[in-house]
Amino acid sequence: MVTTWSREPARWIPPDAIAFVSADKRGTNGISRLLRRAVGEVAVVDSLQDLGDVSNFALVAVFYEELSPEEQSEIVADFSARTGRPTLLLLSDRCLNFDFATLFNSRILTNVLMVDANGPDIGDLLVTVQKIRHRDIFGLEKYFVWGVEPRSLSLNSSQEKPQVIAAINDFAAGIGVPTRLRALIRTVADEFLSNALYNAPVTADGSNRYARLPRTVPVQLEPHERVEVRFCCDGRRFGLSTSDPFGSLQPDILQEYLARAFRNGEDQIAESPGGAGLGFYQILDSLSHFVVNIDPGRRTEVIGLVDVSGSYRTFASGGKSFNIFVTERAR
Amino acid sequence: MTMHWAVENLGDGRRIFVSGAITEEADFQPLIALGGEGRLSLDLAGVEEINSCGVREWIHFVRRLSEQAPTYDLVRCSPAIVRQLNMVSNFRGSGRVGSVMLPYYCGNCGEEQFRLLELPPEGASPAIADLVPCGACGGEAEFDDLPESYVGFLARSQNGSRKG
Repeated sequence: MVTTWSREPARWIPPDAIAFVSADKRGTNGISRLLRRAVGEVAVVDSLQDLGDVSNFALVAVFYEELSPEEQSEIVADFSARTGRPTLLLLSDRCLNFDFATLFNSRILTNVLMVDANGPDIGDLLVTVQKIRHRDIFGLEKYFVWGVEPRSLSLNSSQEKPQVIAAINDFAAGIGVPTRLRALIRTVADEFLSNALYNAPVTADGSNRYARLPRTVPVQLEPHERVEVRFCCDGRRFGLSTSDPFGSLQPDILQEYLARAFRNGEDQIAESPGGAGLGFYQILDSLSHFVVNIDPGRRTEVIGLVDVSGSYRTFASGGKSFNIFVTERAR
Repeated sequence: MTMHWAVENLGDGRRIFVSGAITEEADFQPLIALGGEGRLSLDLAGVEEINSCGVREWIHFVRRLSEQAPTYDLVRCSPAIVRQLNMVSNFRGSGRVGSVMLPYYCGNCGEEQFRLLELPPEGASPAIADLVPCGACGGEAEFDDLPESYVGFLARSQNGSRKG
């Protein structure tokens, strides 16, 4: 049953309304109240069963740990079919590494936000909700307060990659990011750039240009195909983004790679020519928050956020948030 | 950053010191030939990072090394190596992980330091000290990872792979 609504029991559900599935054990009503004041209608229901027909909701948010094992299975098995596929947001207070293989394999996992004792990061929650509702998805700045100014670089050759990674590392070192966290940032930069330079470029008919090349073979993009790199830090999080002008990354492919990597099976590493198929896995493991923004055929932006507020241990104990956003045109 | 290696001849075999970054550029071919004579140890304390293509090169390396030297050891594994041992199926090949480096971070002065942890051949995970004296300021340095999962790869058999 619907336990909370903005004013009265719902007679009409706005097309961009948000549903929270929670028994309010963690103060969800506080979150829903805050969201309602910030973005509009928010309904809180006790269980998945109470959602009913929610095809009008823009977003269904669920506290994952509050679900019974049966409900967790149900999410994986038929959530998208039963609900007419509104976007699903999982809120979780633990690292979901052991669930990621199943969740990514289901292809329903497009949004996960970590929750701590104070609830989810309200900034990240608002950004997630508004990006889903308004489809204004691009920009590293959305994850930082006003005043943080990202630095920008660009490259169109794989031979420039070491210098770009060195520039990012030097910036991180200069602001005092500890060694082990800098290694994570370098790993993410390396994988982001390899994806943008080798996997992203496609021909006019959508065929991959360089994806099957060994990564030791240099590639050179056209001047108008430059990869944009941005990075910044607000003292709490280090942010890094790359943006390519191809928009060729497909969410299903990304989810498939992650599902395969998290299964830890014999097929974990790709033996076909090109990349090893572990890039997104290494990226997700190296980040506090991984965001993928896709405008199909036009642009892909990947954003990585690393918690640098303390030591590596602080980062490692923080869990993983994850989002894929696709512009309206693809829907 | 690139991968470097050096060889130390021991009485009954060899120790290979690997350092730097293991990437698509890593050439393990010269090291494979060293696996056929006596006991072999791979000292990995100097490995700072590994990218996804580097993981594949490493897996190919240990696969071929396993054919040459079925009893090699991975010793003084750096945190970057430990991370991959926890993430990637059969990262050790047929080798045995003999010891790992424990990272410590002093929140007082920012000093980062490492302690060696010898691993038992079989059995329970060894205890990891959460606090050690900081070598720089004399304060307390905290173990800079998650104690409950840092050597999680030991929960598998030494030659097994992670499930779950």
